[in-house]
Amino acid sequence: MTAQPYLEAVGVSKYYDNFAALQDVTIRVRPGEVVCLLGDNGAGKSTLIQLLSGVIRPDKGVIRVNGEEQHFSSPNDALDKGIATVFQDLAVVPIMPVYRNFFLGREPSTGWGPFRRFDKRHAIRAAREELRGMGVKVDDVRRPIGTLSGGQRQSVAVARAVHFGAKVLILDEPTSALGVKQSDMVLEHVARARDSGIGVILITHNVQHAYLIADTFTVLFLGRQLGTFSKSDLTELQLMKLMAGKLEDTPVATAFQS
Amino acid sequence: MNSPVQSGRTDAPEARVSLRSLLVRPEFTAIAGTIAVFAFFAIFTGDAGFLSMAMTRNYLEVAATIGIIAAPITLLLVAGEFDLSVGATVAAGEIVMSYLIVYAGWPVAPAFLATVIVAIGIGALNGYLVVKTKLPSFIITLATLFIIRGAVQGILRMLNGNSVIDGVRSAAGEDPLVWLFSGMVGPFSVSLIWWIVITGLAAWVLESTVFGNRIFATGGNQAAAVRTGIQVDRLKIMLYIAVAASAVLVAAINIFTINQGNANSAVGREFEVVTAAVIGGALLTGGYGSPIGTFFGALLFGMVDQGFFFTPLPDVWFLTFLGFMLLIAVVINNYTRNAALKPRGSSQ
Repeated sequence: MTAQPYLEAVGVSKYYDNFAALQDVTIRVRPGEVVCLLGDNGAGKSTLIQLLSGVIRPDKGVIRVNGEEQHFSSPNDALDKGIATVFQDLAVVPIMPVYRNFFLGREPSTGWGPFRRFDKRHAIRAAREELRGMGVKVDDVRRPIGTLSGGQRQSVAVARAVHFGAKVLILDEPTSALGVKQSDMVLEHVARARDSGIGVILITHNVQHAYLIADTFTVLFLGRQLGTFSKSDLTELQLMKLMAGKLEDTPVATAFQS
Repeated sequence: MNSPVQSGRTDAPEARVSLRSLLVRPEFTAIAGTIAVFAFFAIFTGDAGFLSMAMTRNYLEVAATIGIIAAPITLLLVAGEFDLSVGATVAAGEIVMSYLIVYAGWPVAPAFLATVIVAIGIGALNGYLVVKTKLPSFIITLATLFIIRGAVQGILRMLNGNSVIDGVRSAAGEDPLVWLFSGMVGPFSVSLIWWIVITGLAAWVLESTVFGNRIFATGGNQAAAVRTGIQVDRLKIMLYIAVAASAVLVAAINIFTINQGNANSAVGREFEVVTAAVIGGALLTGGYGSPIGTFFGALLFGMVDQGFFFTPLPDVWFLTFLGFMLLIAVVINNYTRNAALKPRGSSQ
């Protein structure tokens, strides 16, 4: 935990009219670390990830990448800095083949001048190899991505972000719509990404999944931060109570708050 | 339709995939339909003249004037938008170009160029209105249909008190460029070449270029396209411009073939081109379609349009016949598309 955080948001707030969707929240993620962002509906999880991924800008506080302050102008801007977000809708086109989805918006091309074309052969091969390398089982990348299971689709989206050089991966409720087996598969890919040195922010309200994979937990409640806890300081039961906003008999993690 | 798909399931995986992928190709219905319609007319009206060279030339010409516009319309439909103003744009192109040739005495080349610039303006306006208002393009282009059609009629009424400009061929004289629009290639009119080239170009753009990938994405899931950084607004405006440009190409073909520019030309063409595209497998909801399928959709339209007059039925029944064809085609296309998207569970 001594490494410098790759991505951090310090004391960020976001207001909508007079309503504070997010107030004075701090979150940090280091390379090779999984930070779980927990909270019930309306806790401000979505607002925070929209800030981190460049969709919206904070009214107060700063966002830093590699120690440098950033003002993301768009999700693409954040992506260029290595912050890849896999939103719940996954940004895939169901009717298009897996390999076309894999390279959506960043298509490899070949040929010259007006005859420049989408390099399908390369895209098919690269998508196949990349997915195999990540352990995602897709038997034909030319199939529409809509024919894959939810877990497979989620895994393809994670593999795509990793392939395009993500340093930090933000996953918005990746397991919320999945069964047990599929969730395990997705969490396994998250673990692989972590092992390769990527920092992961995992948004969830499934405490079990969070406890299984995270190193650190940041808990939000009604737009405020209840705290940031290391896994060793917290039991699963305490984490569950925290999510519901119950602070009693949990450690007050002052050491982690800034 | 059912049995080959299901019996294919028991085959080796490779064979299953290829058989399925053949059946769920968007152009499948249009090609099968074209063969069926051709066979029908050849058998029942072949002796009456359906198989004659003159007849073949006729239906290819009808098909070409639909197909030239229907090819870029297919790309627009795949991108999830619609253009009802193409018929009015054909009329606008006819009047602008005939005016410049007949009244202003321009040679064909600059007259055509000026007309293309007008088309770019119309296309850009359609596209801009659609992406800025975010209203359904059906309504936006219905409005521009009325605006353009009315303006063309109104302006021409002020100019010559009429709704046509005659004598385009004689005004153009010996201009060699006339051949580009109304020349003959062997027994067929040159419009057939335009149709084939534009279809090939549209198919290449859609299937084989980066732009094509983004057209699919824009219509298939616009939110996802935006998320991955695709400039969907610019893409749509470009497609509207391509559609309008194809409409004025048809206008140029018309004025030299008929020797007249007509403010009432191509009424209803907007529905004919969409019919061709939809028979060809395009979905009105976007994300799916094939210029090759549309080519056969237009060919089928041309055959039915011309072949119908050889049947014992009075020609007023043509539209009813066409309506049934369209209905059958969309039902089959809907089925095959759903089959293509059906998850195949074994790999979970």
